Formats: sequence, C-alpha cells, structure tokens
Amino acid sequence: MTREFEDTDVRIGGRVTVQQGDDILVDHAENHIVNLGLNNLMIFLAGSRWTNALVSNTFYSNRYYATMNCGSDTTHGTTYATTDLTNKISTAPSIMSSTAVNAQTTTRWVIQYIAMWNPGLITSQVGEIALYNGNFTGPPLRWDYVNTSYSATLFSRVSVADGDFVAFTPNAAQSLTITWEIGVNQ
Amino acid sequence: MSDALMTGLVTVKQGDVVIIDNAKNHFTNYGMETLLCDLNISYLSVISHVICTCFGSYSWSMYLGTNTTVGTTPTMTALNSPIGTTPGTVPTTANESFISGATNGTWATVWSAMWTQGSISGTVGEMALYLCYNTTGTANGAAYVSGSSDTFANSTAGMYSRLSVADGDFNAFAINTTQPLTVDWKIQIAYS
Repeated sequence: MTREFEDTDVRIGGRVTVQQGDDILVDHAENHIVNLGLNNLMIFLAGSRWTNALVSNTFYSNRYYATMNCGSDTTHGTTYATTDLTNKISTAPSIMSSTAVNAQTTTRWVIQYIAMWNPGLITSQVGEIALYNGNFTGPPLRWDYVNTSYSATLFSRVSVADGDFVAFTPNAAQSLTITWEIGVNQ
Repeated sequence: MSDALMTGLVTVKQGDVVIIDNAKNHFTNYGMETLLCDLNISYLSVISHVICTCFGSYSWSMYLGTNTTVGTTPTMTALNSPIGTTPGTVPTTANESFISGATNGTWATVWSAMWTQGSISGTVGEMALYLCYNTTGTANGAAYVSGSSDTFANSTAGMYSRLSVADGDFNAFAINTTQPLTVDWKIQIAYS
C-alpha cells in the first residue's frame, strides 16, 4: 500500500542503518510502522492520561521497553497487521540505547535507537529486523490508562521481502550495530 | 515511500449545510513534536500521590478566528485573530469518536465541536484544534514523570493544527447566528 504525500501531511518515518566494523550493510532502509505502533501514536493524540495512582509503584511503557531483534525470513513482507518477526532470532542486543534529538529549528524531531550485538552472537542470515516498543494498547478514545505497565510489542519492521534491504550474514568476528531513527517531519 | 502519514481533515456544517468538506489542515510544531516526545516516555514513578502524563485529549478544544491573510507556519501557537477572548470562544459541546484501523491500517479520531445558534458570530477565516502537547519529552533524561506531589504533566492544550483562508484551505464564511455551527476535525495516521 503506497499513499501520495501532500505538504499538509506529517510524515512519521523510520530509517534503519546496519553496520559491521567499518562496513555499512544497510543504509537508511525505510521501515514500516505496523498497527501496534500506529495505535500507540494515535493514543498520544486521542487518549486522556497515563496515570499512576498507587503508592510506591512505578509503571513503564514506550521507550523503557525499546529493543530490537533480527530475523531470518526473506519471503514475508510487512503489512499493517504484522505483529512480530516471521522467524525471529531470539538473541537480544548486548547493548540497547536510545537518544532523543530535539531539533525545533528544523521542524524535524528524531529518536535514535541503537542496538549492538557482541561478535558471534548472530551468525545466521538476516532477512528481517524489528523495532519493539512499550506500545500502549486499547482504544484511543479519551481513556485514562491507569496503573498499568505495557510490554514490548512490534512497532516497525524492515524486510528483504519488501525490498527494504538485501539479506546479509553477519561476520562472527565483529560486532553488529543497528541504528534505527524514528523521525517526524513535515 | 513507506512513512506513516498523519493527516488532518476538517468539515464544517451550519445547520444541515456543509460549508467546508474535508479541507486539509496544517500541523504546527506542537502537533509534530508531541508524537515523538510521547514516544520517548519511559515511566511513571510515585511515592504517595497521583502522577500522570496527559495525552492530547485530556483538555482539548477548538477555536475560530477572523484572520484571512496570515498562513499557518510550524512555529505558530495561536490563532491570529480569535473570535472572543484569547484563545477564542469555547464550543457549547465537545465530543470525540474513534475509528479503528485494525482492518485497514488507518487509525483516526474525530473531535467534534458545536456552537449553539447565536453563541458565536463573525466571519471565519481561520480555525484551530487545541490538544494537550508535550515538548519536554525529547530532552534526554526528562522522558518520565516522577514526583512526591500530585503531578499532571503535559496538561496544557496548545494549537495542534490550523486551517486558514490565507493558505487556500477554505473560503471565508459568515456565521449564521440562527443555526448551530458544527466542526468535525479528523486526524488520521495511516500505514503505508
């Protein structure tokens, strides 16, 4: 599904770069934000509050759960209804971080997520990559989201099947780094 | 292009007559930045009080204005010439409805405002949707709400998007004070 962009629209995009040593294996591949992520974004507009009314408690969502995984599938494209990788490689990143860049003067805002796997942790072919987030769930209709933590669910995906990138097999002697930028701009 | 697209569409009715039909709005910085600031939320932590972070609809509203010469820019934060005391005359009634995108990837919310006949008058040249905004969350280390007293973060509403005659979004119209005026402001976020 492809829609025409008009200058009154706001684009919510994701760009994925994969690096191994000095080699860039994937250069700014465009991601696909799925329903779980889109609903989360709509809650930011239509929801009312995320509330903690309990004593001595902490609840978590969104960035707290941000992580990435690779997968091996090369034949299934992403749809809005996709909820996970097709053939997930379960190895979690050795290091996961996120940095927000507030660029008001350029009318573009970016959160940059970086995942790094130590050498030898992922050795099989990579054909799909996912960004997970602590997405809010439930209908975004002026609800209060009370005393609840949210788990990591799929936010967006890139895949060989969609032509987003070319399948690659990591070099087991080097660390693998994936940088995922989620940006909003007009 | 595979970016998700956020689009705002505005429909205005006077009585049963449609004056503006799905005109496209212009989002301001508040509208764009809030999405990422909220995405950067991490946790709510509390000791003995109510702590919350507010989303867009916690205290939303709509306002009308008369200006016909100033187009919308990203840094704009209010109508140029609101009708009534700034930020404008509040609607008589305000409601929301939600359209699930589970089956087509297009998620939408419609904010509906109605001014009863005679409660507002003038020639309309600009309109604004006000939602609660979040411009602090992208500061590193500030993407959370925590405290030892009642805290309602991001509870202030600001101009999230605007529609203007100056941008060619619609033609100016005089409000008929013998009929109710209804504005449906729909924002959708769509998979692509």
